[in-house]
Amino acid sequence: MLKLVENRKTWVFIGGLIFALAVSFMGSGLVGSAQAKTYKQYVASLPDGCQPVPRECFEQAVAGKTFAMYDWAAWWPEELYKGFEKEFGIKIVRDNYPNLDEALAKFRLNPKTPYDFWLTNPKSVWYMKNWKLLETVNHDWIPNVNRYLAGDVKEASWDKGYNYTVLTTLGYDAYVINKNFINKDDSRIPSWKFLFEGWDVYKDRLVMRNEMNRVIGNTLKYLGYSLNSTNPKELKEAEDVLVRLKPHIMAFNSWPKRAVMAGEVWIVEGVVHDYLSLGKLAGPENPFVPCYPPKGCLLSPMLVVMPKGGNNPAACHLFLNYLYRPDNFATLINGVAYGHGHTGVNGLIKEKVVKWMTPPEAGYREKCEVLLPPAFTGQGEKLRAAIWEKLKK
Amino acid sequence: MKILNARRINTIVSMIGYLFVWAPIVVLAIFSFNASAYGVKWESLTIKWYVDLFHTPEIMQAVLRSLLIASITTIFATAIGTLAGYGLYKYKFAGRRFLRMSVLLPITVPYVIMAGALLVYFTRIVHIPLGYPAIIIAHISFSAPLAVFVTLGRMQRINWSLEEASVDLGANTLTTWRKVTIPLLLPAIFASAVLIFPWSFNDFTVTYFVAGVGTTTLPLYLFSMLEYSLKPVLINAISLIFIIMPILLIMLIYLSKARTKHGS
Amino acid sequence: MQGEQDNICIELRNLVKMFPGVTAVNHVNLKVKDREVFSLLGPSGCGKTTILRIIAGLETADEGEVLIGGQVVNEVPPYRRDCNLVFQNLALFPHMTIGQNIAYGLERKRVAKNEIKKRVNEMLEFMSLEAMKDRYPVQLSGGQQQRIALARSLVLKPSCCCWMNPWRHWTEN
Repeated sequence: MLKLVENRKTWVFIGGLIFALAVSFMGSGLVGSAQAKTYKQYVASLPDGCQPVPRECFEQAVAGKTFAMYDWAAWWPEELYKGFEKEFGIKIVRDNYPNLDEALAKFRLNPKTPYDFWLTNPKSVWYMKNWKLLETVNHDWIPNVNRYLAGDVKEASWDKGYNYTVLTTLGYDAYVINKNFINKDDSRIPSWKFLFEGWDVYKDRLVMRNEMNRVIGNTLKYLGYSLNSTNPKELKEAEDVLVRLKPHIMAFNSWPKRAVMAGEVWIVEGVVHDYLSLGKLAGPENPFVPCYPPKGCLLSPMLVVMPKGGNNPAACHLFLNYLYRPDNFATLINGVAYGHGHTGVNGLIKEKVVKWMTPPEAGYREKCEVLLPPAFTGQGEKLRAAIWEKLKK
Repeated sequence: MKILNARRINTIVSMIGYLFVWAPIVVLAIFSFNASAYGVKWESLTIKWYVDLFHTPEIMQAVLRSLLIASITTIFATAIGTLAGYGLYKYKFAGRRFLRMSVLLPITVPYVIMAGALLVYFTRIVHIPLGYPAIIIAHISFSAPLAVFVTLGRMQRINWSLEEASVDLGANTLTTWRKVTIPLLLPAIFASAVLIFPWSFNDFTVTYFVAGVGTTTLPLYLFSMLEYSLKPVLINAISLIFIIMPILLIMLIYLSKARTKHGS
Repeated sequence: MQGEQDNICIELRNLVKMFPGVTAVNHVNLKVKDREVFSLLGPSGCGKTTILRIIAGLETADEGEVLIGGQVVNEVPPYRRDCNLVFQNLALFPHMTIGQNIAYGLERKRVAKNEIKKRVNEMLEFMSLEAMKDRYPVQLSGGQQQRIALARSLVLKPSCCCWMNPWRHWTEN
């Protein structure tokens, strides 16, 4: 070993390796923008029914050269990012967060965190707005969003006045059963009654999400209350329901992929769309059945916001306008199989995906609710935390 | 007869120990070749996850970033830690004991607190750009103490008249360092590097907070990937690669050692 | 008076060395002539080693002067003093071969490579340890190690050589 370490060649080799690594990074920073379109070419190339961003936005975005995105790893289809880079010659620099609370902590500690695009949830939006860390959206720069995004999710409860956010996907946080183990014709399915009372059928093979607000929120929904309730009486009722259910809960786990695939779990509370993707891997027939309780459920919107620290907000507008082109949006939805508020993609989504991401009845979205400040701040949070503690004991 | 029994018990106990340490790795290794993405049951032998891995540029980039950071951190943290350990052992000054204990601080402070503190320190006080510089400095600050302690441990077993002999034979301080002290400390330096490299490579919490734009390292990527990716088995594949590499390295060192011994 | 005419190799004048709580060397005066074998005897802890270390420059004197070859060397760093020590524990470099150990001092003095080789071989021959040249110190017996330590000092042809506890490793040969 001594010889190996004393040998000058060893060190030259290690040094060379590190140098090569460093150089390959600097190299990867440069992206060939040779094929990138000019504004004229861009306008001319747009498919029918799509509108371009104004020239000002386009030029600012391209001049910025890079576009810093902060989102989940390995979720959205890669071709969306690659297509954008290729079309506009703007290099996307993507970072990923392990969860949204940690991402929020990062913005709190360093308000100048320079992301142009952050894919996040209403809770973060509320905090970021309070800390004055969000850039306002310039609606003149996103004509495709204006045209295709449904009215009720534009001016929505999570962003009154529609100033800071643009909706991408909508997750229905309800429950899923495995039809190989549970008779899907049970009269209580798809209501909440089955999840909260049907343990005789599912034999305690239930997994609930490991998130206080979501579990308690859906319990309130089952009782017919608002999931943002702060009424102690209503929350006490929810507590009683959960305490009664507790012996029948196998585990609290937000994404028990393996156990669900293995058939150890028969019924699971969570975002139903994730299980379509999972079911595709289970064999020719998807064993998972999404259940949308008629009383409504928790709705999880994924929102794009522009943190104040970003250097290229124009690129974010350009990207949003690009994303809302029906062809691109269809790519997104076919990839992630999530619900959405785009009104122009109906013919472009695969039939299977449509079946999964669309609740069986029209107008179902109105019965659902999004987690709002009353649930995650002040009295509401305190009451929920007390219930959660009892439940996890 | 009694001795035989004792020996047998020893063997069994150490076997259990090894099983405990190695079983998860062996399972991981086997299932990274399973065609089923969830490794629920064995389907068929495949290397598609490895092929997938090399076709996922995000992962490969994250691996390269982590390697770069860990290499630079290892070099600097080992050098700084060894020097500090040497100084703390050799030079007598007031408050030496206190200083020696306080070196432990970065290791004992909970990582989340360390991470938040470093972020505020970098952005508001010293203005070090987040990203590679900040990550590397942060990693050095929490891994150099390891080298200090490894060095201190080694120093106690070194015969210090060797340094005096060197000086007496006409070597100045610098030459003595180069020709005698460093070779004597080499086992400690090597041990420190071997500890620090994975320490830096693995780090999630501190890296997450001081990372800048475009510096998502492998642990950050993998944690984020767990949320939505349908290919968790990719993690098995990449883990296996990083288990095999150190084993190869250890074998290489072992072989070269055997050869030197044989040669002399 | 006769001593004045002879060449004085080492001279100590009023040497004092104090360690916390102990006066290790208390006003020592001595002269050692060229080619003289001079022994310091005494119970352990009486300061013999300290005197040798001060002569070699590894300790500094609190008072008094050290002269080597007639020059005051108090301020001369040990690596420039024309005096070598044979340590009580020998202090052979464990990571170097016997040949490298003996050549160490010559290399530091930037002696030509051929010359180093020649002198090392001569020295090994003189100690009848030629066969050990490429071995490491741990592979040698105590007596052999001691001869190497002596060889390592003598190869530099210093004007004086201080040998701590010379009988410690002495064996039948």
